[in-house]
Amino acid sequence: MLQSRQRRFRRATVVSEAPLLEVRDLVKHFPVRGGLFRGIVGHVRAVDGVSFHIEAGQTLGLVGESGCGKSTLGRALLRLHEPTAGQVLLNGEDITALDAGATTERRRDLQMIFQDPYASLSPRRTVGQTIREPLDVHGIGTPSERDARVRELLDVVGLRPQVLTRYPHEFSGGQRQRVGIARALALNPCFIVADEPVSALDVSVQSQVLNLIGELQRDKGIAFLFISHDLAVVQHISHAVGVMYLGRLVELASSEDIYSSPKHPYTQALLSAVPQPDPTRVASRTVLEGDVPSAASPPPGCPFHTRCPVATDICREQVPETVDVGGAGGEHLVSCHLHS
Amino acid sequence: MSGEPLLSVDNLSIEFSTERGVVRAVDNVSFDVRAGETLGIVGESGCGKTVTGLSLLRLIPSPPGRIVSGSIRLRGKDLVALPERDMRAIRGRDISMIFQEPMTALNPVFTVGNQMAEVLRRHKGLSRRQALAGAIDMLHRVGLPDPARRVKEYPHQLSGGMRQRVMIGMALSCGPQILVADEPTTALDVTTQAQVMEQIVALQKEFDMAVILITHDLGVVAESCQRALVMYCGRVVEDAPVKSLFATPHHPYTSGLLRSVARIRPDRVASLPVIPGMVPDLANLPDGCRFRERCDNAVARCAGETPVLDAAPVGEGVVACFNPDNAASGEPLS
Repeated sequence: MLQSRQRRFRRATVVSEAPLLEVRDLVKHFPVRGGLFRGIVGHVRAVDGVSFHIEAGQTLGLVGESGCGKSTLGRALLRLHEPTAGQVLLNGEDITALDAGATTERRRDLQMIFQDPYASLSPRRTVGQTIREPLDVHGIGTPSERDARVRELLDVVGLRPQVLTRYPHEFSGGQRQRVGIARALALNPCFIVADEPVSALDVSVQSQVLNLIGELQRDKGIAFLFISHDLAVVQHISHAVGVMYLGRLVELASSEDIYSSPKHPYTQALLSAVPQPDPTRVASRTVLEGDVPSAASPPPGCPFHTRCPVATDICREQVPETVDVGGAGGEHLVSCHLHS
Repeated sequence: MSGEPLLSVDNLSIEFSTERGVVRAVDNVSFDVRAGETLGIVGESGCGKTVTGLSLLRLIPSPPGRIVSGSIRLRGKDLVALPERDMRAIRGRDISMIFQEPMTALNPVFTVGNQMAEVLRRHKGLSRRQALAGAIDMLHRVGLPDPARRVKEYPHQLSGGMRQRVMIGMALSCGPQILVADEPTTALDVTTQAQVMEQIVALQKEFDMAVILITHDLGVVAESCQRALVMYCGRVVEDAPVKSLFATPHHPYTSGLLRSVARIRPDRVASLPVIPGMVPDLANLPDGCRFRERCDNAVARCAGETPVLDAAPVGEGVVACFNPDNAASGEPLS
């Protein structure tokens, strides 16, 4: 399986030039400690061999239910969690192999927007200080240039300059998320991981922040990994969409393909479960039985077979290979025995 | 849509004393619930939907909260005036409630069976053994696998979906006429949400009870409710059957919400329509209509007068607006 995947990557690099970000077989396991001497008794396989790439200026949406490893994956890309194995290539350079100094340097290009705008801003710092901090850390420009840059960033995210001296508690959730976005933009990154950036916001504010992210992407050509459990939000913002289940990517395709012709039974069930704000729609729903198994002891074979409505014997025994079922429309990767 | 309402809320106002003065979280709210119906209460955070739900069981923390005026009549009996002792007999037996986060609503130091049996022993006077058997039977009916084992477990041993089923089982164990469900699926994943909502709908039919579903999720309202109230800043701004509410919303806030919600569409849109500005601070509300500063339809009258729910009767519902959308067409498009 590993070999076939590598073959495919080689083919891909011949056809097109190197993507902005390429992730190869990324693994992140967390040790589980227990017993008398707190020894390692097992591993939570949060991310279990994930590969994908993102082109400059594109957004990859990452969907899945809680505990599927999507946030861990996002953090591992920035080495906020040190990956257990695998590579993350930014413009062809493996950033998992960099030393501490070079990693700090590289973080200029890679930034993150967090879910909870209440927890991700320091309550003791003014908005101005928060947005300015990355410029100070990386020693960019003179102090007056930094001040000017902070004002420019406020303008970009639609906040008035008067907010500079105010503290986060004086702001609503939507305004705080704008501050978080301004901070992420301060160093002109080429890639941003946005982890559930609108999930904590009300509907009317959610659309404002989504539009802001969309504009920034078009104007500045920033690539995004957009992590969300909300399939409607992901469809709105993404060029391509990856679906995660128990630490693995089970399907990856263009946004159009995922939503119009999902191939994996899990993707199909997820899509059918989303309640639509349309009372005239007749819901034909695949309701999945049971719960997601524990990532500390994932089932053998296909990780989804315990809940899959169409599982057969082979699904219980063998891990399905990832195959490309896409036609002329582009790559459509799916990891399911039905399609292999 | 005929006969006496089961529950009738009339001009209910609830205030909270805060550091910044008295805040009116619910302002002159009126609505009826009929037997067997599912009523949605939708709105954004701070609109008063949860406080309204809590008040139906008189669960408003007091102080700081206080019902300052209005009545809540259950089959004609006013719950607002009832002594706490009588109210305790109604909670769980006539009106039950389930909450958003089942982990905080369940007691972590008692087993599932213990907590469920308590309700049955208190309201039905069952013995310990009968009550435990009743709990197992109820868990079976809410679709919890292996209920005989689960009753011996503690809440932390269950998944989120299972905990919510336990909560629902507990709420329904005495066969209430009304179930108040406050964001029952918000903390759950989308596949689990689908399971739990299906279960609620099935049990509603089985028990022939009314459900008041409090949610911010317009999708959940569209799929599960017959009628919905839209709340904004403590007031009901629109009350209509769900089909006509979604097809021809009349309050500009309702139509704004429906336009701005991200939904799965056949083709991508470049940008989502938005409602400009943000929800005003409850301690510092504008005069007149509370939505007027964000409203495209605002006219001079909106600043001076407060629109009431029948200000402009349109279509099948009522709306609190002087200049509603779709005023000419009252017919739902479906």
